[in-house]
Amino acid sequence: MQSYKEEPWQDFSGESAKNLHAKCLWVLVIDTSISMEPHMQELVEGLRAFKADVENDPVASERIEVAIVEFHEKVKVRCAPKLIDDMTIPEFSTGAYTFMAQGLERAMQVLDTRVEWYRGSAQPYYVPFVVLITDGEPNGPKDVHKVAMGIKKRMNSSKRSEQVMFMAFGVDGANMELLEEISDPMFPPMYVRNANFSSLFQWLSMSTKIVSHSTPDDLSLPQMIAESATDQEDFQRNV
Amino acid sequence: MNFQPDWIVASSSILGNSHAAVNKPCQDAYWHLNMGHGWGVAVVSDGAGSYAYSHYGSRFTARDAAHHFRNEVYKQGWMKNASLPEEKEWKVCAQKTLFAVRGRLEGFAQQHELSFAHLGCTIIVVIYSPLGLLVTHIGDGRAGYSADGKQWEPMMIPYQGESPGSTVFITLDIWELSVCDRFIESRVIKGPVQAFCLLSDGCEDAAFECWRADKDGLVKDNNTPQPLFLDPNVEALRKMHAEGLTPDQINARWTQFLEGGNSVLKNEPDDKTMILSTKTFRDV
Repeated sequence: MQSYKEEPWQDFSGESAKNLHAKCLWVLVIDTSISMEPHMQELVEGLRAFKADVENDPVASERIEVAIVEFHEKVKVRCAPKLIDDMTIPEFSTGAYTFMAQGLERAMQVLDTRVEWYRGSAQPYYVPFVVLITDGEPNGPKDVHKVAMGIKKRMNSSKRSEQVMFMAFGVDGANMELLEEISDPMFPPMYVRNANFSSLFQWLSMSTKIVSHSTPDDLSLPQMIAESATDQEDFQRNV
Repeated sequence: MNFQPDWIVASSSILGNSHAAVNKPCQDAYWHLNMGHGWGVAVVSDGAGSYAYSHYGSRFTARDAAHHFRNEVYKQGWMKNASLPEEKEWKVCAQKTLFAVRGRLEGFAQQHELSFAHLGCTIIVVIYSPLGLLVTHIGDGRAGYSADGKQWEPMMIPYQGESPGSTVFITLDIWELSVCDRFIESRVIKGPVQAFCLLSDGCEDAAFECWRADKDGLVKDNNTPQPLFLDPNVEALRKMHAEGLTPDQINARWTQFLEGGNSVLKNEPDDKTMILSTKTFRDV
């Protein structure tokens, strides 16, 4: 009798269906006020590298959805939530002011609409993330503290539909004290040394992979993401 | 020569990539008891990801349930009388037996000074026989069967909680008579069955067609066993048996396959458990 090992055709094998996977939404809220103009090229390159990196990860690419909101004196959704494969790197505009409160508000609207869609179609999803990138002092008619307070409250909500993670990154000239005030102690704001967007997007890429390679009910995720930021050489806690 | 149908079974639990990365144990468990004469009990249990001790819960629950459902088969005389219960009778028996499993799990928690809630786990029980299948479950996971060896059907509907991806566990307060039926599904599948499978949710993307978008972009759970996945494995199982591989050898192959037999299995972050069984004939 032939041994089993000589009969490779007998091995277990099978083709799986193309199912949709649990989704994890990351909303990037990017300050594009005039002071960011010198960094814009690096920002776009960082985004490109992030997209390419996540696309190459078979798990992350099927789970990570990204949305991009830019703000100066106008707020624009530059990329509606979509899987990384379908995402196109937007062209950013710049403006004189830094309407951070409105930017965050719009980001939360984008997030809520998407979460509503997940829930309406009963799709499993991870707690969504909002990542703020700014280099300046917020101004504009709305109080950023008030908006941030709402987000902080939702970070600690026991209702799954309200839950959100928020992280702030400050680059050259950012008001880190303010970012500290609007951040949850669990996710303190990080200062990105030398406006190193490349490091920032490397961290983002790594974090999205940590999340997508976990399961939606993993409670240790927030801690892991917070620690991954603290461990980055180009970031520092600075208040 | 008298031929009695019997079953070949492949079963395994694999630690998921996400748990391996943070040194968490496998929270899935399974148990299988072959009772002979074509009867047996197969159980899969998946510990709640957010509870620290759910791996103890799933292991205890799978083993305890397998033994007590086997006892029920004897006690109720189903095997002796070569008969399967009607739906109503099975539902009552299944709920009572699961409730008793829950009671012993609570005892286990007290004995080891563990929080009972932290032992939370799902459970799927399949009693197989020459006459058909009895299935009961709490929570999610999937189970399916093929009556004619060609077409596959689901044999349970995974419980989806209010929040997508959430489910219920044996430890929760789901036992009031008024709500029990909502959380504990029990079914009798009468007639010959050629093959069946039961699996934790970590294997569902591989073995089932689940979340799909229809032509209008609406997403829904099709809950359909995937023949392109299951049929070749049933075939392989039969051939391995015919070749004389021992159950241990078959399970070793099955373990290897579940670890990374295709890209979906390889990339799955969650723990993976699957029992696949097919009928064969042997002389007795």
